Amino acid sequence: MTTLNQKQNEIKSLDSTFTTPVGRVVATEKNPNTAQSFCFWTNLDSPVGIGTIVRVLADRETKEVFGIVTDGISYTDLASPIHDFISCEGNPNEAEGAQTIRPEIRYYTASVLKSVPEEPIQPVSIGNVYLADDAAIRQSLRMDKYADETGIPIGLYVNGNNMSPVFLDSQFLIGPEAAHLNVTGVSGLATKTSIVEFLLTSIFQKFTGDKDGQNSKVAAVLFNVKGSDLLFMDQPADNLSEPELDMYKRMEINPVPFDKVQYFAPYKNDGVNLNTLRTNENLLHNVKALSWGLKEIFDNVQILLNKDDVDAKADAFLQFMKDKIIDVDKIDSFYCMHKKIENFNDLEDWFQRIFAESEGQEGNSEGKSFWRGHAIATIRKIYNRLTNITYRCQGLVTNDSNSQDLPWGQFEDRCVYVVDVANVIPLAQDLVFTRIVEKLREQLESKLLGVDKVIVFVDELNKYASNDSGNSYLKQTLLEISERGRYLGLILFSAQQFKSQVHKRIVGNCGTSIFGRMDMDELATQGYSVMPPTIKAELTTLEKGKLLIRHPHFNQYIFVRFPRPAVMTSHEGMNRFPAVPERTFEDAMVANFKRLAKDIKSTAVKELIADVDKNEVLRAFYETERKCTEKHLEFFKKILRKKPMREAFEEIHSPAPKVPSLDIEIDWS
Amino acid sequence: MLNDVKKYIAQKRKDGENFRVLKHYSDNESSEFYRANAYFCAGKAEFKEDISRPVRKVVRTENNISGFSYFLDGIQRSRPIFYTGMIPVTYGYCAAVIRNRADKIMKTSQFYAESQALYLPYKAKALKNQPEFYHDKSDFDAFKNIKLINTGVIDSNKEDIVENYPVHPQELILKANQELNNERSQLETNLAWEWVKSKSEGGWLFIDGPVSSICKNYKEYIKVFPNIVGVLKTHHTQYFSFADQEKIYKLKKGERSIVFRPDKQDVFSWYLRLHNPTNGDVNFGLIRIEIFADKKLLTRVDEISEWIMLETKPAAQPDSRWDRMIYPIRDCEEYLKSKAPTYTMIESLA
Repeated sequence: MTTLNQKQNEIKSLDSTFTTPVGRVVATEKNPNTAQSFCFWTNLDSPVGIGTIVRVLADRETKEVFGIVTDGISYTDLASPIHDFISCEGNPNEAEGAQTIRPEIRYYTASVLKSVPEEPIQPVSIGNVYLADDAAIRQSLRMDKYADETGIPIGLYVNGNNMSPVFLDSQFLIGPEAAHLNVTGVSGLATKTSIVEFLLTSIFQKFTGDKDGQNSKVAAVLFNVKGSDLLFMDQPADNLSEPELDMYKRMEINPVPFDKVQYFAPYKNDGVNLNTLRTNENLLHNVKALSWGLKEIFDNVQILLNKDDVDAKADAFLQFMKDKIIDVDKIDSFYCMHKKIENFNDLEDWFQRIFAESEGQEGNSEGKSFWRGHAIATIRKIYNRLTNITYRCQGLVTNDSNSQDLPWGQFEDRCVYVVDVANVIPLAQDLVFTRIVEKLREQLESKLLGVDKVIVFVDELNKYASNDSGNSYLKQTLLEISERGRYLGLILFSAQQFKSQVHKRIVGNCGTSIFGRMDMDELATQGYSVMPPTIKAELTTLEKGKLLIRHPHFNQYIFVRFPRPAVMTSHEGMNRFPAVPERTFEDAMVANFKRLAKDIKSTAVKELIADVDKNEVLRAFYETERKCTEKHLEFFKKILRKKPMREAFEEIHSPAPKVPSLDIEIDWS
Repeated sequence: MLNDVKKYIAQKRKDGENFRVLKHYSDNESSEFYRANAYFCAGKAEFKEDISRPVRKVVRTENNISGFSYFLDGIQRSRPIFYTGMIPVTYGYCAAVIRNRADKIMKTSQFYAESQALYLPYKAKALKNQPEFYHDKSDFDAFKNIKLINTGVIDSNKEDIVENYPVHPQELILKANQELNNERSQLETNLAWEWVKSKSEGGWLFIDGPVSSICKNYKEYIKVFPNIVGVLKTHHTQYFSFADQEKIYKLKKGERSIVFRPDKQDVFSWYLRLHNPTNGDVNFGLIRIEIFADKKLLTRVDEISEWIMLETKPAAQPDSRWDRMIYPIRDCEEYLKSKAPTYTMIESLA
């Protein structure tokens, strides 16, 4: 066991910053120390403040206690303000004439982070207070047990000139022990997105798998729900300052952007321009279309239907369609099938056959209202709802079978997949979220995705999983991830402005919480009742780049600083790579081909598509995009059916119908 | 009855008579100044300034910096902690310190002393007719590491006065307190002497209490290094005639009396009013200052008075004696209190 002298010698061997006592623990009968908190005083020039981590070396025992300052007061020996008033004779200028300055102390309350030894649990003893050095910070936050193996740097604990890396435990951040991360903070400071980007960089560079080295492949799927926040993750930040680079160095992270990023965005209504702000020619190489047909969406079709419409009868009919009709190889004429139903065009055809058949039965008293046990009215309702999906989600949902999707089964390790749904309607957003997450879950469960863990980032969580709206499918999906995702390796990183407005079970399941600057109104809500008032006050004025962290290994809230992510900001990105206004059909096709291969000549594309029906061009292009990996233009040319465009009718005299000649000589005379 | 008094005072004030009503600002529990003093006497004095003008205005100079840099004060604590038979044994603690002020901040200097002892009567070998119930000193051999101070000795120079040996327990406690008081005075004098010997530079020494004994005992040294000023907050001796004394009591803030030399003492002295007596008490804010009796120092009386006036900021509140105490002295007291054993500790022995 370490003796008191050994411990004192250990302290003396440290840098003088950490060997000079900065304060002293005090306890009174009215304000005693406990096993969880203690009080100490410091001089005015002491570098201690709210959030400072300190170590206490007890005077008379070998116990060492680490604590974090949660509250601080300052006072003089004045018993009442009136005394100072009398002293100054009511004139503030008289205070300058004071010959002696009243002693003023800083009196801090600290919460215990760790005691060494931890047992027995005893109140903190009187002793000197020292600033914590790197090793002490590791020990106090229990990071010494995992930092070297499963540590993920989240930022730096900064006190004066001292910067100590703070690590999250990957086992508790992305599973399997605990998982999920939630970020709360006011909008406009770019803190939420920045910390997620930084943390992803940190994870991608530092994560080495679970403790046994297994499950080391990780990817991220980010949903961009507003503006251009996540659209330049592959571009470097060119103006990181020296202090920021130092911070990276201290955490041993390379300040580089993500080298593998793929962007997905649905088309606009024209079916040819992508519905994203990442349309600059220089950035198109890794932008892909997101376009789904009937097969892709039918499993999640309930999302697109009005919940009130999907009663038991409608639900039964949808289930019937799923089992017997949609994408079923067996062509069963009993069910009015004449071919495999693969897309909305086929579906339309199928419905028309049902209606024709049911109309043909008219007059038959039994059969006129039902078809195969399903009410015609119900079928008509489903028909109505399904067939207008392609109009409501135009650009995302196509009539034909030309779907473009995420690379299911081929997810790459350390790759970021950004799905840009910022400019699509909420209904389509719901569909995108739900389907992608469901698909991720399915593939992770069956180990077919290509990676072991996927981090899903959803911003504006209070919009998508609010605690006061109804039970949306998306909310159910998010709940599912938060409750069972960690077993599968499906990790939810979420962010929002108002945590209090997010479903409790979702935030409750987040192992790690991060808080940026916050409104006092939000902090006054019930969810923050355990947070010390001074921490709350600090949060209301928190500067950019500073965050408050709660992690399972830390038994108190910890303030950390983090550098700006090493990726281009949305503002800078939009300046440098401005989005191209909506292109003409021809130009858009050129841009689309350039997405597939940069070296494709625009003139070649324009020549090929000239005088060809637009729909045919699109069909051929979609097929090229879906099936072809090289020599795209040749493939496109091969499959393009070059029918001339319908020309305008020219008003010319058609030749007169050939009248059979009558060999009758007519005598006109 | 109180209503009658109220009416009487109101009437007198209406008649224009000088009636002042005492206002008790401080906590009654600690209002030691409002108790009548234990003794009074009239003192003889030799006036060093024109007695026909006993009141002088202290003129403030341009210099707003006090010349004091050192401050001396002492404290004492005592409690009877046990009885042996009917004899009370009192624990006494006293300490004194000189605090140094630099850049307006009070700091500890090397001048610090403390003493603690058990105060009890025991039979002194050289004395006769000591009360039988006094213990032999050997009875307290168990306290061999503890200083014992004999409260049974009245005056070792007057061995024949046997009938005055304290016998009543309360008397013994009172005697213990007197001995402790002497002990503290001695500590203070010793510290002042140490300071004088060190010839500390940078400022004068302000002593909370008289300087007559140190001026008397170390006269030759003080002559060379006279930078000490004593301040008395209680006034048992009246040096002026009744008429002149009334003028002293009517001093206003910043006014001083003429300088006088108390009989048989090596000090010059004068009164100074630190705060206007808004609470009606004639002693409110009234202090008496002592300096070494050196004619050269007479020219510095106003300057020293001004320093003391400057020392009233900040006020020594929350101390109940703030009207006559300067803040650095309160600081010395607080410092000493922080080092002294608490009453809880002392009482826990009982």
